[in-house]
Amino acid sequence: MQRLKSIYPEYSDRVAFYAVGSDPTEGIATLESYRQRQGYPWPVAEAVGTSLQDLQVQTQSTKIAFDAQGVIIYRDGYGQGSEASWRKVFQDLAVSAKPAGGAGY
Amino acid sequence: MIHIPVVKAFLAARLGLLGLTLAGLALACGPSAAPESFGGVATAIPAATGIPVVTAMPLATAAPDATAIPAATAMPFATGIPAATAVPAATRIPAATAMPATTAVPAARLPSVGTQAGALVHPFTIKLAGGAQVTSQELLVQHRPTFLFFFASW
Repeated sequence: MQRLKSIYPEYSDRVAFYAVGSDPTEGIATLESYRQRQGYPWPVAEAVGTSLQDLQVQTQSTKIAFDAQGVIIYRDGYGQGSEASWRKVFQDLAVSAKPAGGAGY
Repeated sequence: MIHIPVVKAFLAARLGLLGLTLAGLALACGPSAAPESFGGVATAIPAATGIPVVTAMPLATAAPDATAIPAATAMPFATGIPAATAVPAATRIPAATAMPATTAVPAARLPSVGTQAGALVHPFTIKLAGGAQVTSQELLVQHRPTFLFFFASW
């Protein structure tokens, strides 16, 4: 997640970013404490209900990105992805947030 | 009791009247509509001439014994001429007007819900540190592209 620190600020106004706990035994307090210790600028969250199963998140460091229409444009697992590839994902997400022609939602 | 000579006379009289009637009608319709022969039962009259076939036939004029020949034995010439049943060529649908091959209209391509790239994200709910919940539905309504990073503190 450290590598995302340099990317997130550039797109925080156009792309929602959530660091979600992948371990059901860790509550939101634990996750928030960890975030503060690490100095992460993004919000942390815990999955509610069957969300982890529904999204088939089985390991930590799973990444899922979906555009403004809800279509998944990127998914990767543990140890996958790079700063360059994530930057590209954020760029694509930002484009989907602002359609061509300047028409706002 | 049926007398053969009487029956012959009766039929001859009826055929003779029929021939006269048809001849008169043919003259009324013009030379082109006249059939070549009126001697027999009206088998030569084409349906297209429009000549009414059923004609008044005096059944009892030639029969001395009116009870010997019932009316049901009258010549069934009225049913011998079929109406025009052939379909005129003009009403047939020419091949050139047949419908062209169907052009496929693509259906709206909406992705189905799934977990891999290209699929519609499965509905989910997360809870933030402050207690507020965020749903995928809310993010979609707000048209917010989203990046989820799943992690553990250990």
